[in-house]
Amino acid sequence: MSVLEVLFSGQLLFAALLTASVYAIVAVGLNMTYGTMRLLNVAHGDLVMIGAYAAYWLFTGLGIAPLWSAIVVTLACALLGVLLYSGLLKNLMARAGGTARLEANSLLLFFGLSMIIQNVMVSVETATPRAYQYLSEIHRFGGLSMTGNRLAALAVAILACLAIAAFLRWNIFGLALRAVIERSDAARIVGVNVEQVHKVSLAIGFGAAGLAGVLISMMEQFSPFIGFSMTIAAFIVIILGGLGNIAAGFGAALILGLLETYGVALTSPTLRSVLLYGVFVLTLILLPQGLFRRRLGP
Amino acid sequence: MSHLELKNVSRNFGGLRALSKVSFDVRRGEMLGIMGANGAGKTTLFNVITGHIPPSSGEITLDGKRLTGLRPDQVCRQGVGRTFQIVKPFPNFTVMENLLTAAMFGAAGIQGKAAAHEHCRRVLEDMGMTRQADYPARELTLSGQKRLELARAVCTGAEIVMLDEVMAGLTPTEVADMSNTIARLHQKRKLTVLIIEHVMKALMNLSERIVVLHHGEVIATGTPDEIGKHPKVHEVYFGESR
Amino acid sequence: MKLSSAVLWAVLAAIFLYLPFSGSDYLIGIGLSMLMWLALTQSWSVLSSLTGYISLGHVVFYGLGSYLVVVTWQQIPLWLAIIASGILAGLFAFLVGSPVLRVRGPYFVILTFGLAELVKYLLMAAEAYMGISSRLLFGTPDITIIYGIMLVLAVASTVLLEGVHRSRFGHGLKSLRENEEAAETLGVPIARFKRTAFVLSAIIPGMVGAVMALRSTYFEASQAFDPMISINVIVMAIIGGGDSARGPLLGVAFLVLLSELLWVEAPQYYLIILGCLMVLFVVKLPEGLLGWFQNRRRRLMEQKA
Repeated sequence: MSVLEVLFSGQLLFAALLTASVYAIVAVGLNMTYGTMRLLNVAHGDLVMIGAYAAYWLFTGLGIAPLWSAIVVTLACALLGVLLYSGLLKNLMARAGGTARLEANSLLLFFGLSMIIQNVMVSVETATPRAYQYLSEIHRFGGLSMTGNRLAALAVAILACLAIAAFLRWNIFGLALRAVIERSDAARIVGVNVEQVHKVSLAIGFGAAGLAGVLISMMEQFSPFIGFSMTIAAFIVIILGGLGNIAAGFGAALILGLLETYGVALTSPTLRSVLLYGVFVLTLILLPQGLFRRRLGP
Repeated sequence: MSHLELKNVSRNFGGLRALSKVSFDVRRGEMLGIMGANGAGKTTLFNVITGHIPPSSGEITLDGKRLTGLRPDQVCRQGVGRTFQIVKPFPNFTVMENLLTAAMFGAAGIQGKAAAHEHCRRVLEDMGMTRQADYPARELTLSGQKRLELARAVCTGAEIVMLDEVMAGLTPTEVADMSNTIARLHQKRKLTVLIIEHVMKALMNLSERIVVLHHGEVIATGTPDEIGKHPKVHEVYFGESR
Repeated sequence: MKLSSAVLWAVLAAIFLYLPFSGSDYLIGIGLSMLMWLALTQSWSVLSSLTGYISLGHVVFYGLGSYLVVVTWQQIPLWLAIIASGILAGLFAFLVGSPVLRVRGPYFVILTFGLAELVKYLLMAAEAYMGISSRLLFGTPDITIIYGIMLVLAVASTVLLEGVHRSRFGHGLKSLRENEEAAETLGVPIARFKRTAFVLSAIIPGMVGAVMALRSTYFEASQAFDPMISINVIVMAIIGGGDSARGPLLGVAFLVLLSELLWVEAPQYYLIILGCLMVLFVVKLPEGLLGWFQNRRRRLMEQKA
């Protein structure tokens, strides 16, 4: 395809929107959990992987359609988030006061968890990529041809983003969340139940990631290792959009989706990873530290 | 020639004028107090002098040599030591190891470990902290950590030492102790001292001269007596004119 | 140096010097593995243990070194290629050091990871563009020579880490680890020191990568830049802890033996254990086993006093 054909292709635009909306859901969760707890959960993407496999098992084993199992999986992942907090994270955070070294160490902690999760999945399912067929008949709109599962995925993803955005906008939790992201010790003093905010953030975050996994499993093949590039993409989104800024996060996800889809189309698929990591490295180096206001005080 | 000189130093943060055309000079061996309400710009002044923040305009010279635009480590090596309002010890180092860093990398620049040890030992003696040499810094009390801040600044071999509220949070006894220590060090080592302090009594007792800052501007300079009677200072502090 | 340390190193040197003469290829292989990981982990410590800037991208130096040797194979003398590999890695560290080291804490960790992956994918794309999928080496030196070079590198890394650890430079690094702002205020040139430590930590891995390319006789970017190498290094370092050359010994020995047991048959179990070790040491033993012993001994002495 010539450059112009690429730029004006409705097909690619659709693909970009789809990629963007999946990234958006995954990033929203990470934004909230990282924003409130300042812990870099590099295992976040592995929840996407777990969601994908859960949908796969429910579909191939029990014949439950992914669009229905999405509900169960999302709730289960949300519960997982709450359990992780009560079981591990609460203690970790109480222990030391947020020095750079603790945060670096906690990253290693999540990295270790990620390795455990991925390789447990390998022992259960082997490393061979899996896939299943669902809603794979092709629909045509004008010049666009799209499989049903991709259409459904886009619809669900956009709905989820809107639901989360609406919840944060109109529910008082949204205000509490922003307060905790800004200064959690100050928020605590004015009466915000910070532990509650952490729990709900993790619940929404993990639930959203699980949902993204279900959607991905409908559309493409997946392996125990898809988590990591998801995490990287999510990080790019929150760094670009700004910590705790959910709306900007959606915008950033869109930019990343467009960049990736059109970039790959204009160059080649092998360059997808170069693009992703290139943007990742550049954003970390170039964007001022001030984007993540350092926590002062105890 | 003055030891330290500031000429029209200004610092803006966006629309906020933290420092506005601040000019004063400090004579060698002088103990100069810096006074002002919270937000008057005192710590910003220190940060600009030590290179932690660049000034928006103005010049700072040390013995005639340009200090403006140097990095903090360069400023230190020129002979300027400072303490921080919120103490920044090396928590897992012992007191001695904390001082060794200062001795090795500060203006003194002592290369050999043995010579550095000796240099620091003498500072500890002057401060009355010899017993605590091997304590890990994080196990010191607040008073101990404040004294460590001071000891470290002195250990750099600095000729000019800048103290940022070293007495904040100390009990009256500790304040008196610290005052005596500062006076003793000032005399014995012939240091030039800039001291920011809210504990008025200590500030008035120690300072030979005082500079008063308000909203980033110098509104008065003079001896403690003169400052005590200064109409502008009264207006700012008590809201009245005498 | 304490007598116990001197004895330790002498014994280790003797064991490793003996191995090539043991006649067992298997033992030589394990010995080589241990020497390699020791060299990698100790050089990693020069930056990460001393400054607290934990790098998850150490493999990038290894991979660059491998690539240089393979690309210049039989065009320049081997000894030159190996040294050039070290220089290339050091140069790379020098060039990216300034921007990269301005990033702190966990961002530095993921940045180094991302950087290593970026270099990996760039090389893969470049190789794909040139139509090369992997490169083979013919006529590589035999294992005794490779072993010998690796022994030299392991000795070099030990000397380097111990040397830096005891030097004024090392004290400056540790000071900035404790509190970067305070260190700078006391005259430590933090930016320059960080970059120097980074460069020093890069040179030996570059040469190790070069040597290992000779051992495996082939180069493939995704293997030479395998993030597992970085991860192994970190776990080996945190098991022992501390910032002297002794720390990595425990971790290296343990993990090399563990991977001997598990890696071929069931790599996922090895990785699960690795993950568990990471979690365990970060949560319970952040100072490592050595650090834990030292703290216990000090606390017992304080109780007696």
